[in-house]
Amino acid sequence: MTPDCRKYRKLFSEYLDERLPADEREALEEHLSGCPECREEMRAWRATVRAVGELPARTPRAGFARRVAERIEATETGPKKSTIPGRWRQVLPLAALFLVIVGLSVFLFHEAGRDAAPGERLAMQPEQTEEVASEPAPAQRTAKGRAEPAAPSEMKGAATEEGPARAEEARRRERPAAAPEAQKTSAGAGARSEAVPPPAEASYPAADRETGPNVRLQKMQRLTEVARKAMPMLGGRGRDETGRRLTVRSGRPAEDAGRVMELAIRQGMGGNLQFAPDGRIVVLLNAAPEQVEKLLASVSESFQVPQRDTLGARPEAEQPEPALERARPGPVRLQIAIVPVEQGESPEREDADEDGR
Amino acid sequence: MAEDRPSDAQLVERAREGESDAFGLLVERHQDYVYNSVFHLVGTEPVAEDLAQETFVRAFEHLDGFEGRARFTTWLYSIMLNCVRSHWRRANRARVLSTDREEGAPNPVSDADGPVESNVREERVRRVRAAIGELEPDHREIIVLRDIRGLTYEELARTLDLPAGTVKSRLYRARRQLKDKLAPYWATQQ
Repeated sequence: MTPDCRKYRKLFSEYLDERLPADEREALEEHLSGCPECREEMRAWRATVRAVGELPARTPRAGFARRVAERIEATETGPKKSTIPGRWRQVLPLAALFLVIVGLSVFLFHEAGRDAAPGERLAMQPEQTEEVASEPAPAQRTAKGRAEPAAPSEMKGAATEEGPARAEEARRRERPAAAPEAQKTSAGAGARSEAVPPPAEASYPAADRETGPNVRLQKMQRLTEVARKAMPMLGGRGRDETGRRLTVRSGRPAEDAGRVMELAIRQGMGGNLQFAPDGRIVVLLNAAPEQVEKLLASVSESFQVPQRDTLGARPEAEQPEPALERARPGPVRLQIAIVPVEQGESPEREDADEDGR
Repeated sequence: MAEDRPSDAQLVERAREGESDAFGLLVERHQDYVYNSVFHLVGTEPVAEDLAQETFVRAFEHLDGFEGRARFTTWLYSIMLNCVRSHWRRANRARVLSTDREEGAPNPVSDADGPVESNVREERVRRVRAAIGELEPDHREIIVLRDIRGLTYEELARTLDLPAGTVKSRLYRARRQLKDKLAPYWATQQ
């Protein structure tokens, strides 16, 4: 290909469109008459442009204008009403749930700090004023193994005299054997300023929830219940975390998740709840190993599980006790899965699936 | 009669004033034009249907933005190209053009052709479409607008928002690439 060929071939496109000035067109045609290679090239150019132009036309199916009109109408009355992009519409409910849990945690921490006056329990109590009214004074309780209700004159709040006794009796029925740690903690008011409350006080037996007003716990229960109901719509799912895990069978998973969460918050842990579509609730906690042990002790006491590394739901449920996986060294991600008794899988299977190990 | 047929600009004005039938007339008037172009850009009927619809929906939504300085078709084609480019970005497959004929799609070859001629024409159509689908998106656009839709160089410049010199050079490069892709096939046809 000569330089002339290269120069003239650059005119092919405009030549085919008949846009070349007369002098350039004549010069090109003269070159083509003497150059077989460029004639062949021009033939390929012409065939290409013609073939594209001869592609069969495509027309839309009948009713195209009507479909456009319907789409315009749908656009005007439907999706445009929502100003939240689709991706955010999926995320916002989860974010709202997260904020509710965080807000509740902050509220409980705040209440705990406000309650931590000298000589009183530092740890958070559910509904301080009314709880005190329904329970014996701390000194009496610790000294007497929490057997005697306080005298009315020592009470705060407006509870009746029958209330504390009834609540205490119910608590005794539900927890026949007092926790050894609670009995040992009999040092009086000074000892009661420890960060960790006596284990017996960390429990929220059903009798208390039914007879004694426990507004804070009830709020948490309501929130967890609402969240649990909402999660199937949100497609909630539990994360597969590493660390220590514990599976609990419970007849009231929402309530028990609230109990576990409150115990964790009392002990200074942060965490959140995850609600699986199958009804399981997983309490996810970040904690140092010593915190984990402390929490497990409290939880075991709270749920009246004799062994520290197992956790039953309720005494009457008599569920088999699942094993707890051993911890890895360092900071621990603790998961406590509360599985509904009526629909949960066997504890053995739960444990076998844990951590993929 | 010619005077009975309102111009595009008149229909636009009537549509702006709320006459819904006016925009419907615009759709009916230009739907084949838009659909055929979109089909040759994207290569499949369902996508072409969707993007052609989207073109008219966007045109309706932005009807106030049509100032009447350019032809309605030039403005409409700019919207169409934006829809197609958005689709390419979304699909992230700008260089892929399906060459498979969709189920139920009309046969591009006339039934009047004999079986041999029909096969030859169908093969050529398939190869040309495949070659167009292999072009760079900007080359594909200018080939479709010029060699299928027949826009003038000036209309190409306005629609693509390019200087006249760029239109010429881009069209030259696009055609040369297409010719190179089809050259082996043309050689077998001689």
